Amino acid sequence: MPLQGDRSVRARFALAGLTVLLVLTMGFALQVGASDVPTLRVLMTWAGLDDGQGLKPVDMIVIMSIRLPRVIMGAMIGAALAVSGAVMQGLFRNPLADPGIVGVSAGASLGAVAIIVLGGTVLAPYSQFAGVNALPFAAFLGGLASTYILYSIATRQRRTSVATMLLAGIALGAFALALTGLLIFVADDLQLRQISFWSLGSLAGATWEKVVSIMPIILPALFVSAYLARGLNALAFGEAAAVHMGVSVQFVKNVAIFAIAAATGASVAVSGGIGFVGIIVPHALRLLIGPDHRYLLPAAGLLGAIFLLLADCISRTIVPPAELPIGIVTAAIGAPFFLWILLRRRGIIDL
Amino acid sequence: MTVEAENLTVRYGQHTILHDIAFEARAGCISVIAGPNGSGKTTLLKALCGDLPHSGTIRLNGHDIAKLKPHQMAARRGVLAQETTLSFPFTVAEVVRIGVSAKSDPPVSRTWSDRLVTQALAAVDLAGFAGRFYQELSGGERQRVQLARVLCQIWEPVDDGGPCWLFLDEPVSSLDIRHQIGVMELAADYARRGGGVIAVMHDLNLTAMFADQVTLLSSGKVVTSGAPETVMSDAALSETFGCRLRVGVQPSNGLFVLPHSIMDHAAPT
Repeated sequence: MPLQGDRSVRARFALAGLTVLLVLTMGFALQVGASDVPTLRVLMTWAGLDDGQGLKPVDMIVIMSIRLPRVIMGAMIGAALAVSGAVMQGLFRNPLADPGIVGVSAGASLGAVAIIVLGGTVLAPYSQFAGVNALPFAAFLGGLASTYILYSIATRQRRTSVATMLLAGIALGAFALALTGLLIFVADDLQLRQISFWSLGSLAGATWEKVVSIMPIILPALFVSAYLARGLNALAFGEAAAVHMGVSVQFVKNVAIFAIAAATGASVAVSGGIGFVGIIVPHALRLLIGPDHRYLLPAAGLLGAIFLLLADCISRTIVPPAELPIGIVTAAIGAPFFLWILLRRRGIIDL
Repeated sequence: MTVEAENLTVRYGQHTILHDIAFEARAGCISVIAGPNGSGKTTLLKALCGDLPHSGTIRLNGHDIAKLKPHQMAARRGVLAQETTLSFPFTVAEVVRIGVSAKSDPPVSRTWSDRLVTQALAAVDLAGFAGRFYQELSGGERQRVQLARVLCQIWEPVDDGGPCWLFLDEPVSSLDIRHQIGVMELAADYARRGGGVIAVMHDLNLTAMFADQVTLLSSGKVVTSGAPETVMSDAALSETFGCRLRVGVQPSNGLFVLPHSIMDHAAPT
C-alpha cells in the first residue's frame, strides 16, 4: 500500500504530463501568428525529412528566423522566472518572495533606463562599444551589480542574513527607483515611450543572437538550482534545523542567490519586466504536487515555460497586427487565476 | 563514547550566558539539563549542537565539533527544537521523509523508506497521520511529527561510526501526560540500545523517573551534576531554582498525580 500523504507519485506524473504539454505548447506557439505557415513541413524540411518542395522561402523565414527563436527564448525565460521564484521562496521561507527581492529587477531597470535616456549622450561610448546589445547588457550588469551590493551588505562574518537582505533590498530598491525616476524626469517623449514599453516586457525582437547570448547563463543556472532541492527542503524547517540535517546552509544561499540573479538578470535583460510568473507558477504547483523542491523546481521550469509561451501567443494575436506587451497578459491572466486558487484552497495556505 | 564540553563559555554581545561550563554525557544514558528560565539550558544544548560561537572545546564522540562539517554532525546527532514552524504546506509523511533523506546513508529503495516513515510515526503514536497536513495539527502533534523526523535521521542508535545522539530541547513541554511518558520511554529505549540522549527538561518528576544523569544549571553555571538520586536533593534544587523545594514530600490532601504511577514504575502499595 502506498504511503498516505506522499505526493511524489503524483508529482512524477505531473512532470511527465508537463513535459508533453510543453512540447505541444511549443508546437502550438510556432503555428500561431499573423501569417499562416505550414509549420510541420518547415520543421521536417529543416530536419531533412521533407524535400521542401512547394514551400515558399518566406515560410521558412517566418518559422526559422522569427518564431523559432522567439519560442525558444520564451520557454527559457518562462522557466528561468518560475524556477527563480521557487528558489527565492524556498530561501526566504516565504511563498510571496520573488527574485525582485534580491534587487535584480530594480538594478536591471536602472541599467536599461540609463541606456535609453543617456545612451546618445553621456553613455555614448558604451553604446557604440556594445552595439545592438547595449540595452540588454546594461540591464544584466545593473541586475548583477545590485545583487552583489545587497549580498555584501547582508553578509557578516561569512553568514548571510536573509532578514537583512529583505530589508536592505527594500531600501536599495527604493534608491534605484529614485535614480530611475531622476532619469525619467530628464527623458524626452520618445524615450519615455521606450521606457514604458521596456518595463511592460515583451518577447518581440527575439533573435538567434539573443537566444545564444542568454542560453549559457540561464541553462547552467537552471541546472544548478536542481541541486539545491534537498537544501531548500531542509530550510523550510528553519536555518538551524537545516544545519542539524547536515545542509551547508551558507553554500546553498550563495549558489541560490547568484544562480537566481544570473537567470533573472539575463531574462529581464532581453525581455524587460515580465511580472507574476515567479509567484503564480510555484504557488499553483505547490497546491498540485506539494512543496517538495525535488519535484517543485523542475515542474516550475516546465510550467513557467508553458505559461509564458501561451501568454506570448495571446499577446501577439489579440490586437493584430500590433503586439500587446506580454507583462500585461501575464498579470491580466495571472492575477485573477491566482485569486481563484487562493480562495478555493484557503484552508492550507499558512503564511 | 561521550558528548563533552570543557571550559565552555558562550556570549551574546555583552552578556555572558554560559560561564566556563564542564559537561559530559555518556552514550547509553539519558542526560538531563535542568534549571530555571534563563539559566542557559537551551544555550548549552545549542552550543553542543554546534549552533553558537563559543570558547572552550566541545567533543562529539571524541571529535572536536569545530572541525566537523554539517553533514558529519548530522550523521551522528539529530536535534529536536522546542518548536518548529514550516513555511510551506507539507504533509506529515513528507516532513518525516525529509528526515529520512537527511540520513547519512539514505535508503535506496522506496519501500524501505516508506517503511521507515511508517515505523517512525508509529513510534511517536501518530500512526495514520501520514496524510494529514502539518499545519492542521495541534502543537503536541507537531512536536511528535518533528521527533519522528529526527528519529529517521539517526534511526540506528549505534552504527559503524559509534553511537548516535538525540538532542531534545524540552521534548515533552507541549504534550499530555500519556505522550510525555511515551516520548520519554522512546528516549530511554534509544539509550538502552546504545544511543545517547541529551534533553533539556522542566519536569522534575519525569527527570527523576527517566534520567541517568542530571546537570543543574543556574545563571549560566553548573550547580551540580550526577545521578538523580544524589543531585536531586532539597538543598541543590532549592539553590538552583531559588525557592524552597523538598523531595519526596506528600501534599497534605494527598491529591497528586505522578507520572510514576503508571504500572511499571509504581512502588508496591
